[in-house]
Amino acid sequence: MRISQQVSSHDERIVLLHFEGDLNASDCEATSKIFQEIIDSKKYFIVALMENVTFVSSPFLGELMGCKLRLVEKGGNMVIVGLNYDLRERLIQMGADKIFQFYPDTHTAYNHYHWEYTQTAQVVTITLPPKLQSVPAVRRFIAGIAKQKGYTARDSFRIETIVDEIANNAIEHGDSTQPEISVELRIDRKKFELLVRNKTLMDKANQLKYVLEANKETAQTGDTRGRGLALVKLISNSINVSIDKSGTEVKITKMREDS
Amino acid sequence: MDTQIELQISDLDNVPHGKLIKFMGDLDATNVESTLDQVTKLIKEGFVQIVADFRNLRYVNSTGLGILLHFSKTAKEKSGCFKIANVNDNVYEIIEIIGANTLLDIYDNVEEAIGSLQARR
Repeated sequence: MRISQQVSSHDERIVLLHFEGDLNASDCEATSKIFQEIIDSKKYFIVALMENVTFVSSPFLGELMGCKLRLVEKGGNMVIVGLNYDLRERLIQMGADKIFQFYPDTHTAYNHYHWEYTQTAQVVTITLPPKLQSVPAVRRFIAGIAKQKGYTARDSFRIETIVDEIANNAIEHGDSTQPEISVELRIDRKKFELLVRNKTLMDKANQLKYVLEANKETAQTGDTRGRGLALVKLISNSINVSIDKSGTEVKITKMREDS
Repeated sequence: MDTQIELQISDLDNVPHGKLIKFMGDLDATNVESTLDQVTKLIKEGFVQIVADFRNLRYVNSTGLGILLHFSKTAKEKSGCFKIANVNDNVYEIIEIIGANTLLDIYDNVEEAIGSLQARR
């Protein structure tokens, strides 16, 4: 085994560890010492580069797992990059995929790091024509993003519901002459925010406020708007509505359920 | 483009005035009208013992939920019933959150729903 380390030029909180050759039980002690030195230097994010690794023994995998645990306890992580197909399959058979994230390259690993640890939000803006038929594709697209970003299937479904209900409301109850509806999604590791802007007639906008402020939260609610908004209220963490002459803006925040 | 939903309708053996409706796809604001038309037509024709199989219903929103409640109410008014089976967890959660689980007859599977119809006779 050969092992070398360098601080990432991308972010000095990340250490790149290059492994080469066979990683055997006899290499555990030396590796453990290196891990401890990295942790002692208060660097808690390790990218293990394994493109030139030919074999990983079970004891060595155990050593990696132990190190990962120490890093996680410090609020950090270790991910594995560049495994060849055979080695990746072997590690999966050993259950390592339950413990480690595998990435094909450092760029993807850095993306993961930013997503998980620097709370960088990703923003998607969509404008859609004020037609109900345009909503399903948008709601599925946004739910797909949430799923891809690691939100649970349940969370993604709830997000799909929120987008659907709010966009439908904006279309059904908005000014029929409005040219478009704007949907902005901000998503980070911990929360999902949806901002829907449309042009609404003032009397309808005030009705919307009334429905939101009223506590209509059951299926007995007679009108569809009441039921849809009640549902959104129950599956999200907050709803804010602002109304002025330029239009209505509905902002929904939903926390990730496993955050 | 409307969201795809398909209703497959078949007879229910040993259940007079009975129909099994398999819902496939998403039930939302783009297709509630067509769904409403198809099921209302059945009820008007006298098929008021209905079992709705949701095994392949992926999604339902508040508008869709509204017509399910309408079907249930209309069938009951005609001394029938509208029973739902095989609801997926996500859809069930939405039904439950809105409180509609107390208004709809929901069964784990189609066999149980049909059995309850036969027991009514």
